[in-house]
Amino acid sequence: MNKKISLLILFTILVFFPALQVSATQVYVGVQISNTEKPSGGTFDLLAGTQLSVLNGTPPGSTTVSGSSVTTANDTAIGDTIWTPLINLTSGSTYTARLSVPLCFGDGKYDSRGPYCWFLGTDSQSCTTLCSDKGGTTSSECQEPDDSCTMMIEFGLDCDYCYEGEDPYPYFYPYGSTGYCYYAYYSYPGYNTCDFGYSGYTRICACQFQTGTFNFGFTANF
Amino acid sequence: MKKIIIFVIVILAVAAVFLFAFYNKSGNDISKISDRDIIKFLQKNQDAKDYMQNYPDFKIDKKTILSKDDIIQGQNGQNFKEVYQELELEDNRYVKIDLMNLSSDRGLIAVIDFKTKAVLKAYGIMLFKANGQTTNQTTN
Repeated sequence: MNKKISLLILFTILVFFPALQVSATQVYVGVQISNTEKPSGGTFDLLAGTQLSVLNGTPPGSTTVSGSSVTTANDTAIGDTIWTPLINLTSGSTYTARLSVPLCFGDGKYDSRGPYCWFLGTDSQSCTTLCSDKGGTTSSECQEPDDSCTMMIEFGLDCDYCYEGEDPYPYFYPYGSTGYCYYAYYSYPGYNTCDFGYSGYTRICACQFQTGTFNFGFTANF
Repeated sequence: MKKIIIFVIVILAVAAVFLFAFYNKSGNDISKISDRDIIKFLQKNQDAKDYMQNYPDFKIDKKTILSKDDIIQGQNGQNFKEVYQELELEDNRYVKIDLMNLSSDRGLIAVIDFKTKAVLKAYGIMLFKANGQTTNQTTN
């Protein structure tokens, strides 16, 4: 009979005291974009493809917390927040929230077609050198077209004449007091390669897209 | 022994009446749920209780009575899916509570089931503010 009474009491406890279903270590980690500032001035939205993840400990050598990575599908404006999925963190342990932002360093111009970062070189500078100087690498063959000299105009080049030819090879040629903007050139062997540079000619080059990384170290406390 | 069983049953009945009265103190109208009621509910959950103790400057940032559409939308949304998962598709049954501390960096998201008077979910929030210049730290 005592057993029955015990069962009855146990049943009572189960009925009147619902089970707790949560753990203190389950959290969402968010990074709010409160300001973005280019070294050259002005602000920018974080492009789609920005990734947020949480790392165990402090880099380098830290691993990613399971299930913590998220990649944005749309641009993130100032004031918006990027959130991780629900993750398990250990209270008292140290972590790093890492934001990997696709962007163009310095004065690079974003081109969604690649995406690429376009840069303006100096006289006779090749794309190989230019992209390297800007902290990146060249696009595959350095033959991306600059349709209607759009990028050249964005760089402030005075395109009095925009020549549209067949071979994509954008460059600027100052001719007298005016400028000739080309995105085509003779199909001479070697003229449309990444390594080509020629005195009197300034190239603009599509370099590979870049990633800026921002780390936020924190101790998990709830 | 019969007396003991009768005694236990009477005790249970009294407890049931007491708990029913206690749980229904805020009435059955979910729209009339007060902040005080919410705090009382949250006190029953250990994680929520810990949060409120650790961040006594917290405030109720948002209080949302969930509709069926809210739940469906939440389950298919980009963020906080887990908050809405496993909820029954019912109007005016659940209240989603967003708590945030004064410095706006630690919060809690909780879901209270108004039907069973239980705290179903309580997840922590850790928020950081990104405010910096772009730097050439890594490249592809």
